[in-house]
Parts: sequence; structure tokens; C-alpha cells
Amino acid sequence: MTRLLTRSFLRFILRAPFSSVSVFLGVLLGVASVTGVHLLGAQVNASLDGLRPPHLERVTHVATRQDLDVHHYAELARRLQEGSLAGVVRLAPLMEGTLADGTRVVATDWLGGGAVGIAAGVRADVEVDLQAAVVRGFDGRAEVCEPLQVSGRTIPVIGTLPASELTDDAPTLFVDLGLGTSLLGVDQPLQAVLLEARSPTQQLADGLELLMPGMSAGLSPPALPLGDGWQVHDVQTELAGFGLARAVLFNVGALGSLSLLVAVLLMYQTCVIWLRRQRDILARLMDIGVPRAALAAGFLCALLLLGGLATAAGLLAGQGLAQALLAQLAVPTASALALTATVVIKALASGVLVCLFGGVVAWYFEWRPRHRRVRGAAWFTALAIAAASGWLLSRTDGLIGVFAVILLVAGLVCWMSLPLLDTGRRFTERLRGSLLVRLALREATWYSGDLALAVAALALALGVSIGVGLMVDSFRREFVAMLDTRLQADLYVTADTSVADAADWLAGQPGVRRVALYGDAEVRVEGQPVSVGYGAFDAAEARRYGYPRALAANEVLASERALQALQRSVGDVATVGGVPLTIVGSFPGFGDAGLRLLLSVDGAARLGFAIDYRRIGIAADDPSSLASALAARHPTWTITNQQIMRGTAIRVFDQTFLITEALTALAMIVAAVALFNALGGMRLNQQATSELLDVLGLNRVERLTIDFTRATTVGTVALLLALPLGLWLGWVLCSEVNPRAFGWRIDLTLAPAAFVTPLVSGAVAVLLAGVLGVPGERRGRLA
Amino acid sequence: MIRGGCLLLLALLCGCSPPPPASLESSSLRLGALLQEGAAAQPFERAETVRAFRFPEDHGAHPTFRSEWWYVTANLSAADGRAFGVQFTIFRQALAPEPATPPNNPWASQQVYLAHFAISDVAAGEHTEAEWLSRAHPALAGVNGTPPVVRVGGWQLTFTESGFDVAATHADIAVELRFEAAKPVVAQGEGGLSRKSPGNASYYYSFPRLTVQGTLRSQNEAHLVTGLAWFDHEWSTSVLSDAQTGWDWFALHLHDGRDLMAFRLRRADGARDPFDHGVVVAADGAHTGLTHEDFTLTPVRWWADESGVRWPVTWHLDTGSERLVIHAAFDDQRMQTLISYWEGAVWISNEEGERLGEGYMELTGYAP
Repeated sequence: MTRLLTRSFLRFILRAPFSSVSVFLGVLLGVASVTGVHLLGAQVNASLDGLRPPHLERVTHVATRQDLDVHHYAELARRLQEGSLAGVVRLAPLMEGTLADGTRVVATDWLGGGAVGIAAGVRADVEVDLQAAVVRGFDGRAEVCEPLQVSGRTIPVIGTLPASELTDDAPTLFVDLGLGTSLLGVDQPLQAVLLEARSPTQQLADGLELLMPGMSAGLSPPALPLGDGWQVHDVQTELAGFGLARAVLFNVGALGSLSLLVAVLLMYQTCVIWLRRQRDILARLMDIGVPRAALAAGFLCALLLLGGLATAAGLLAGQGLAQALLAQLAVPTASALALTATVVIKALASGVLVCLFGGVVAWYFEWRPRHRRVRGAAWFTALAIAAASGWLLSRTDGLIGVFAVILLVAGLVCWMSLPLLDTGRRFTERLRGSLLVRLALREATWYSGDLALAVAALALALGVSIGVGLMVDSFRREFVAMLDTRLQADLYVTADTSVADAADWLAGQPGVRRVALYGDAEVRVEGQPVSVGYGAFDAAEARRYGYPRALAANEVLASERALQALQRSVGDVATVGGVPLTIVGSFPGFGDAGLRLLLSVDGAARLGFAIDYRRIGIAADDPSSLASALAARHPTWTITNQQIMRGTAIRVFDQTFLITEALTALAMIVAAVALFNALGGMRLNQQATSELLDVLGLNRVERLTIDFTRATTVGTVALLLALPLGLWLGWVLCSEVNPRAFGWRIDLTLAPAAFVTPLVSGAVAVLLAGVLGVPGERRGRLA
Repeated sequence: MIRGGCLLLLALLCGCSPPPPASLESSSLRLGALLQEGAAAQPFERAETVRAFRFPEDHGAHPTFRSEWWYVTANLSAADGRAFGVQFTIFRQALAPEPATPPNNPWASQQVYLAHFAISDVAAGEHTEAEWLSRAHPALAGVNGTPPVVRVGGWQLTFTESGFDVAATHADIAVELRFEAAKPVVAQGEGGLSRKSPGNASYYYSFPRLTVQGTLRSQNEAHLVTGLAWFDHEWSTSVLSDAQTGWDWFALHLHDGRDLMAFRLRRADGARDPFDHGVVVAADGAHTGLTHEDFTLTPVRWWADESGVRWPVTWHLDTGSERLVIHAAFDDQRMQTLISYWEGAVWISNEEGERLGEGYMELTGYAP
């Protein structure tokens, strides 16, 4: 019987081509969005895995302590051996240092730590040698199997890792401790102990990561207490750029799910309309003894068949979307993005979810006993959800908590569409004026059940578009402001060797107004890797970072990320290399993945750093000529015109947010389809009235007036919901998501420009959906 | 500093090349080749001529040879009669023929230690194993002192005037045992030179019977235990030839006071290996070597593990004058470690089923 009923429902669906096509399109776009984002994320994750430094392969935590030495490590190892370190399965000591020529050496125990130290970046056909190195950042100077000359030693190379923006620029050797101590000196202390821990939380994070790349960034890292004296950090402190990239993926993934959510609403809305139209037939079938369950099964099977086709198309469209986004971002991909089993299963699950959820809920509400609505309870529930969201927001510190709140509030907005339309209905009952306008208004609000979720879908898409737009606009303003303050030099030079000798020559060149030398050092502060930049921090230099006067030797500026990671505020003291420094200011450091401190050259000397300038900022009247002269004199130096750098940075910024624009546009399209479908259905419901009005002499302009007024009413209700949602979302993204994901806060700017695109596109969607006629409408073929 | 990658996703994607090749799991140690080294091992010292053992010095490490192991197997019983088997092994492997520990840089040692520790709880039918790998370092692992202490992390074997002590703890298993030699040391093979294949030999001596007492913890339950043990110490630079795929080794303590060791080297071509040998130590300590012509070892019952690997768990040992039936105390006593093998407690009977003794069995080269 189910087969017969399925055929029957399918026939009905096929005879309602426009609503069927809109459902097909909704599922297709929802699945495409989810699939596209997944593939994009998987590509990024694959790249991240390729960039992961070998010594951190499979490492989950990093432990440090005051005056860490081999005996502390041995004690920890003994505890692991005895089985008294719960959850830890592997550990290895870490030693870091920099050679005189600037080469960084990262040494771990390639023996005791098993494969911890060497798993990545090693060619499978090359036998590992404890006297050899995996290298990064030697720019073609190191090839696998070709020995490398470092500090007068010949070191075989058994693996190379690509340098990237996410990793340190310095040439780096990853070696065994034996070779490491030979290079750095036997007195070099251990810096940390690397640990691989397995816990249910970790397994959950791994599973979620498989399900949605970047998802693990939403979870707070599991704690790993080692006992007195030990400080344990999540490995993300060593892989700051990776954590940020995963947080981006998490945000993009969440945004990618928006279309799917809107598609669920579209499916529900359409099912409600379909069931309403089939209600008499279904009731008659039940009267003659067809079980309700069989009818429901037939209905759902028909939906699944339609949804299955749409899912398959969505899968391919998602692949195309990901490919297009990557191409738009000028990202070279090694090959076509693979539709792995995970992707296919996820797409299928998404499609089934849309069909089943929309279908089952619509079926349930269509056949359940009708109760009188209690308006007071609705508003009370809304208030309760809002309060619960606020509480959740204040009690959680991970990204998942924020997104749970966003989901709650989005659900609340969807749900509020119904009472809002009902309120509109009561309002329109008391209206006077033009009959046609009153008729249109009444139609828009009278059948709230038919329209509510389409309005909710539009409000959701519009609200997210406004919120994301506000955040991006605010972020862009701050980013550009940061560029303007920071990029004050005309030329910027970086080199692998000391640049100090060039300072006098540069200062003597005509038109040169200022030469500023900078150096960097890598240190650990409370066990976390921190990049320290130093230079002559006079008042002019300090102003670039928002601090009004020159830095004293005991003063330091900290990036917002550093403040957050070290749990400090401006005015607090941070101890660096045993020397207490007062944090006198902070700076945003957008894009700087790691933790960064800035101090004067006196301060650097006070910390015992060997002053080694590798960067120069130059203010000059004729940067081009000076750049040419400098390039001729130092051909290996990298010389960048700051204005070009500024333009590049802004272009990169805009390119990156193409992804968010594309995803919100997708959601908007699905919402417009939902609305088009709902309004089309409503028009069909009103066909008898329309025909009567035609007989009474309604002309085309008057008919258009009705359509326009109806669409405007629907749009206004959607806007009433979308505006507060958008404003709230903008605030949450700036004040909660950004600090939690990236460590920086953005001041929300309510620029009118941020509203223009979403509002215009929303208005166009509403008007098109409301005013455009559907072919065949008059022939009654529309569902 | 402003890096172009403010927008991390793009920066990440733009900066990426395809991921590097697949990982190389645990290849640094090449543990699978621990016992199988060929001509490339020339710079190491080799076991080629008979030498006189000197104790306690020879209880210590011989770092000029590539490989070395100290092997303790014990059959113990608690006061309530509950039976246990204990295996405690320390392997040493030199990665390069250099002094064990350069005095000025302990991290630069080329010596690696691997320890295996297992308890077979016969009544419960549970075999629990643990392993620990460490580079040689004064704080981590190595051999020092006279009499020597062989240590890998917190697990150690401390030689004494009359035997040695073993202490090891891992999760819910632990031992603290004292071993006293009940018979003198036996030099295996030709005065301690144990030939395993043409041109390949090891230096090898054993304590064939040690009395044991101490404490043992299994399933988080502590027991006072006593029993008998066998100890081997062997070092070499090359042992097996390419034609040899593994071995079956037995150390048996018979109730009549005799101790018997025999091993069978398995060849890829299935033929009997002429280097199979063994030793019978009489109750008074006198020992007689067994050549491959003096005994046969025949598997008579097999047990298949979950991956389909078949392990011979019941054997016939024929010495001409008698046939011993060797039964695994229970079937699954696999060491699922870096090197996968079977090492566990056995009991011995005659063909009539009369119990004649206990011992240990080791089966290697069966698991891929």
C-alpha cells in the first residue's frame, strides 16, 4: 500500500511543478552549501596537516614548569610508564634554540617519543637517521637526500616542509635531541614536554572534525592536570595560526549550515501547503480505512524521492561551489575536490534531514488536534528563550556555546513570525481606508500558518546577512585603521642576515626621513611561545601601536591575543625570561596568529637578547628609487613598498569574505524561493476571491496593488524580525565570536552601508516573490 | 609586523602546497630488524670466538655489539595456589657503533632500550603486557654500576651477589621480586658462543633455575608469590640469517629437578634448521647440550587469534628417551607490542597427562 500511496503523492507533487521545483531547489542549495563548505574545510585541513611541524605530530598538550630539566621529564616519563598519567599515551621532551646564523633548531626525542617527532614531512623511501633533519623555510636551499650545511656541519635532509603564513618564517631544523644538543650546546635547557593524550573529549573533537572541518575549534580544549608545578597548555598554543584557521572554518561551517536551516523551513512550509490541499482526499482515505501511518509513510517516501534527487544534484553543486570559491580566492588546488564517503554521507544525511524534518513536523501539525493559541504564553516563552540565551552566553567560553545561543535566538525569531503575523491580523481588522489595501493586508496576515515559516526563513537569511555585514564592515574599518597607523614607513625590508650595517648608509641617502631597525626573538612566557619584537620604541614608533609615549626598558606592549592567552590586562606585569615587565598597552594585531610582545631595544638587552636586527622600516621621499638602490646593494633582501602591502592586505581581506558573502547569498536565495512558494500557494488559495474581483472589474494596476501591498506587508514583518536579529548578531560576532575565535575584539559600527545590500536584496526578493505571477497559476496547476 | 595573512583562511590556502608524503611510522628504530642484521653491521663487534664470561661484569651491557637482551621468565604461585607467569625483558639496540654515552652529551647516545613486562594470570586467563622505549640517558635508561643495574625508566633489573631483583609497575600490574640462583650459570652453545646460522652467533648464558619470592600485583590485587624462573642474557651483532623467519623457544622446569631449554629456528623453506639446539640441566647443575639431532619439537594444537594468525599452543618435545607434552597455560598470551609475538606460561605433562613441571614458551615470526 505504501508503494501505491507513494506513487499517488509523487503524482500530486509532479502536478505541482513550481512548488516541487522550489523544494528541489531549496534542498539542492542547502545541500550544496553544506557540501561546499565541507569540501573547502577538508581542503584547508589537508593543507594544515601538511604544514604541521613534525615535532607536534599527534601532540595534544604541551607541559612546562619553572626550571624544567631532564629529571622533571624523567619523572613524568616514569609516571607515564607506571600508568599513573591518566589519558597520556606518549611524551617527548622539547628543546628549542637559535643558531648564530639565525637558523632555528627544534629538537625532540625521536626515540623515546616513538613517532611523535618524525611522522610528518619525511619521505617514505628515506630511512630516518638520528643525525639528519626535517627542514622548513630554506627556500630551495634544502632538498631531501641532499645534505645541508649548517653552522659548519653537514646535515642530511630527510624531509622538507613548506613555509607558510601560518608558520614561522625562520629557517628551521627539526632534529633529534642528540643532534639538537650538538648544535645548540649541551647546556641548552629543555623548554617543554610534548604530550599526546587521548580522552573522550579529544575523541569527540576528532569525530566532530571529521563531520565538519573546523568544528573542533568550537570546543574548549580538555584539561590535563599533571600535578604541582606543571603548567599544561593545549597544543594550539604552539600552533596559533592553525587554531585561527580552524576557527575561521568553524565560523564558515556554521554559516554554511544556514542555507540548510532555511531549506528545512522551506520544506516545512511547502509540506503544509501540500497537505492542506490534499486534506480532503486524505480524510476520505482515512474514512475508508487507510491507516494514517501508511499515508504518512507514502507522503514521506515521496518527499525522500524528490529530496534524494535534489541531494544528488546538491552534492555536485557543492563540489562546484567549493571549486569556484577556491578559484575565486586564487587558491591552487592539486586536483578535483574528492567526494569522499564522509562528504556523500553528510550530504545524504542533510537532504534526508530536510525532507524528514520538514515533512514529519508538517504532517504532525496538520493532523494534531487544534488548540486555541495562548498569546501570552507565546510571548512568555520568547522571553524565557531570550533569558536562557543570555545565561548560556555568559556561562560558556567556547565557540560552540555562542553558536548554540545564536541557534536558540534564530529559532526564537522563526517562532516569533507566527505571533507577529497574528498580531498583524488583529491590527488589520481595525484598519480603514482603501478596500484593496485592506484586502491585501488581510490576506497577508489572515493565513499566518501558511506564511509564517516562509517569513521566518526570509527573516533568518536577512538577519544573518545584516549581522555578518555589520561585523565585516566594522572589522574592515578597524583593519584599515590599523593599516593606516601601522604602515607608516614607505619601504619595509626583511632579511635573513643582520641589517644593522645598512642603517648608516640608508640614513645618508637623499630623501630618507626615518630609518627604524627591528629585531625579533622567540621566548616562552608561562610555557607559551611568544614572539618578541624590539626596536627603538620612541614616541613615534609607540604611537603606531596606539601608545602615546616612548617605551621604557621595563615596559611592554602586548597583542590582544597575548593578553587573552596569558590572562593579563593592561597594567599587569608579565615575567619574560625571569624579568618582570609592565604591560602598558595593547594592540589588535589582526592577522598575527601568534602571541606578540613589543619592547624597546633597551628592554630587549635587559632580557639578555643578542640584539640582531633583521627588519627595517624606511620613510623616504622617493621610495621607488631607494628600493632600486637597496635591491642592487642587497639582492637577497626582501623589499616591500608599504602602500602596495596595504593594498594587498585590503584585497586579501575582501577576498576572504567572499566566502561569507556567497553563503549568505545562497541562504537568501533559498529564503526567496520559500517566500515565492508560500505566496504562490496563498494566491492559489485566494483564486476564488481573485476571480470574483476580476468579475467585479479589477484591473491590472489594482491587481498589482494587491500583490505589492501583500508582498510589502510580508517584507515588513520579516524586516521587523530580521533587524533586531541582525543587530544582535552583529554585536555577538564582534564582541563574542571574534574574541573567542581569534582573540581580538571589534567595536561594532552601525554604518548605514552595512544595511544597504541585505535590505535591497531582501526587498527585491520579497517583491519578486510577491509580484511575479506563476505560469499556469490560472490553470490551477500550482500547489 | 603585518603579515599578508591577516585573513587566515586565504593566507593558509594560498600558502599551501599539497601535503607531504605519508608518514613513516616508527621507522627510526626499525625494531622489526632488531634481531636480523646482515653484512652492513660490520663496524660492530661480532660474536665469532668462544670467550670466557666474567661476572658480574658480563651481566652488564656490551655496547660494542649491536643487540643485547636480558630475559626473565618466571612461573609463580600465590599462597592460595593461584598461578601466575611473569615475563620481564630488556632489549638494547645500538643504532651506530659509537661509545654508549658520550661523556659531554648524554642526549647524543646511540643506544636504545626497550623493555617488555607481562603478567599471565592463569586462573583468570588474562595476559597483561606493557612496554617502554627509551633512549639511553643517565636519567632515563641504561646500565650502570657493579653489580650492574639495567634500567628502563622506572623498571629495573638489579644484579646481586646471588641473582638479581626485578621491579616494574604498569597500571594494574606490578612486581617486586627477588631471584636467587638455585643452579650455577650455564654457558649456552660452545662455551657461551651460540651459533644461530652460518656466520651468525651470539654470546649467551643462562641461569637455568632461580628461586623467586616477592610481591606481584595483578587486577589491582597484591599477592605474595614464590616460584621458579629462567634467565637468559645474550648479545650479538647478527643472529638470524635471511632464510630464518622466527623461532620457537622453551624453558622448562621439571618437578624432578631438571631444567630444559630448547629452541627451534624456523626456516622459510620449511626444512629443519641444523642450528636448533638446547640444553638439559640436571638437578645437580650438570648440563648437557642438545643438537638438532637430539630432539624434535612438533606443534600439535593451534589457536587462531582474531586476525587469523595461528599460534601453536601445544607441543610435543621428543628427546629420544621421553616425550613431553607442553601445554599453554591458556591460549592468548600474545605480546601485542612493537614486535608482536607470543610469550607465556606453559605446563608440562607426559602423554598420560601427568603433570611434570612448568615453564615458558616464546613463539616469534608468526604475526605479520
